[in-house]
Amino acid sequence: MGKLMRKIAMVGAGMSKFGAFPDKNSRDLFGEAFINCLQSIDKNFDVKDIEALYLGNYSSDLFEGQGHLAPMCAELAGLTPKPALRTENACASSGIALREGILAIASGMHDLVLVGGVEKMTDLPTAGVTDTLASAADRIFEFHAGVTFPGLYAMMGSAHMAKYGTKKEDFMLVGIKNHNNGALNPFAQMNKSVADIMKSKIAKAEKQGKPKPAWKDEMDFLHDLSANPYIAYPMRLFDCSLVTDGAACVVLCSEELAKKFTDTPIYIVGTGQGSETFAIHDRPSLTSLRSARSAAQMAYKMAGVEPKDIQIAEVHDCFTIAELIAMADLGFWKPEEVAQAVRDGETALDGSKPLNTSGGLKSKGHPVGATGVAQSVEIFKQMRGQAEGKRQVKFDVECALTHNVGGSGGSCVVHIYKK
Amino acid sequence: MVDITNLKVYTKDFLDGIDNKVLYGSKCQACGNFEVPAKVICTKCQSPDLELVEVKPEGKIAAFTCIGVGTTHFVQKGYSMKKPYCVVIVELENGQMISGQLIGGDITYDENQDPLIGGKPIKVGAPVVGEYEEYIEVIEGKRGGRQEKKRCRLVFRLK
Repeated sequence: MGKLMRKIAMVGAGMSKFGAFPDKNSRDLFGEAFINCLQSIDKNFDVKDIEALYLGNYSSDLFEGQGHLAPMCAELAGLTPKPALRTENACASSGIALREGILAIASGMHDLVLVGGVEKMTDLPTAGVTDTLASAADRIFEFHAGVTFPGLYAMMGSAHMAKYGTKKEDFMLVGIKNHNNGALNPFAQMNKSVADIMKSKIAKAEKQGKPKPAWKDEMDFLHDLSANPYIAYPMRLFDCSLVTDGAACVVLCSEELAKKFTDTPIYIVGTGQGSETFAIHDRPSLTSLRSARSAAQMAYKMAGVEPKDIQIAEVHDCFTIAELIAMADLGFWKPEEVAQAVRDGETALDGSKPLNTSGGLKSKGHPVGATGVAQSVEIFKQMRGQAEGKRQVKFDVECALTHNVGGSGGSCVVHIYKK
Repeated sequence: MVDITNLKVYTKDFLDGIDNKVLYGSKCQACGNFEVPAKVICTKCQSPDLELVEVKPEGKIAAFTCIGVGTTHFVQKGYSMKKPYCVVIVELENGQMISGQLIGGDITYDENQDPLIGGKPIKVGAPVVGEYEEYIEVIEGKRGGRQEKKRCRLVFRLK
């Protein structure tokens, strides 16, 4: 138990630009990601080699009025009549599609599969998006009490503040860090630092002849309730991930096949998945997710590595508090130490353990069903020294991790990568 | 004894309880596990042999949030960024927890940008007591027509 019977290689990885695209639907976004992924494969690849599609998608049914996306995307990729499966575990939908693709190869069922994720979120008005996301929470016991998705994580935030003395400023520092990384990522939805966003707001006010805002620096800007209001106290606008359209794809195959396509495959050496109670009020702790702890343990054990061996990670920062909780659930720091680690810059691009070099869900964007695979795309690039611009880390990445959470933690999937 | 085709307790029993202004937990007759809100199967031993037990809706705040961007239902009730509403997780007497709205006045923010309700600070650990807020649910009939049903929501107030 807990072993992969074959070694799994990732030989291609690509994504669409993330953003709000009124003129593009799921089909278009998946097409962009698929082409971007094909272009990343070094040699000898033929789409006929793909044996099946595993596609993560949370709720095209509610977002677009279109269900059953897997055969639609398979058709686009020229796979018809091959098997095409959609996985749905809220925001972990495509992390779990990745796991299913890995299991298919490890079992010997397939030798080469395409794994994707897609979500088109921006067609609905804000209240519709809020309701659709909230349907991943407990409808009867949470939604009816008025809880929204930001509200669920905000409640975890209030408990974290009371238990560990975490400050609202610590949440802000996570957001600033992720925007700094996203500013360097051409695929990011908000590829601007918080400082640049502040400056452009000042410039806009001046241009419109309005009084010039008196923000001293980015922290001062983030403290201004009119510029950065509470969406759900203590989570403000700049603590929340974005509403995003986007897609991502990776190609997985057996170790033997990988050599045909590239000299530098990235191996997935550990996979773990866990679950947590549906409503957060049923949990023994409001500041940790058992789904994440158990998924991480499973993945670490399978990979034969420890938290200290992980050099970079993409973690599920749907809200800034979620990154702090992940830092402890993955064993990188103790829960009482996570805020200090952020203050000390340990998780920044030039820190001891860079987290979310892509900009994370906060800045890169969070098309929920595409997020898990998009995290793998970033790891693929970083480990091969191919991250665009200045966000490539300055050291060789031998071991990395992705952490993808569904809902308020009801699902979590963790993967570990090696060269 | 438990009928093999029917559970003893259903979600509706809990919801009917709220409509009748009673908060129900479930006591497992097999292992003694006590859960609030009432479950349909014991989550500890999976026995369906549960009894509903009335619980006092009283406890302390374990976690809270003040929501500016609300669900459609709460937006229709008049809440907005300018008029946020507060949701709390309440830890009841025996440690079980439940979610509900905290009522008792408008939400404002103090000089530290921390929330107040009706001028009183909202804090983890603060004691709260539950009450039942009546409302009318409009149910669309399957063959057209509408029916109105009197219902209740469990809400909390600072003690």
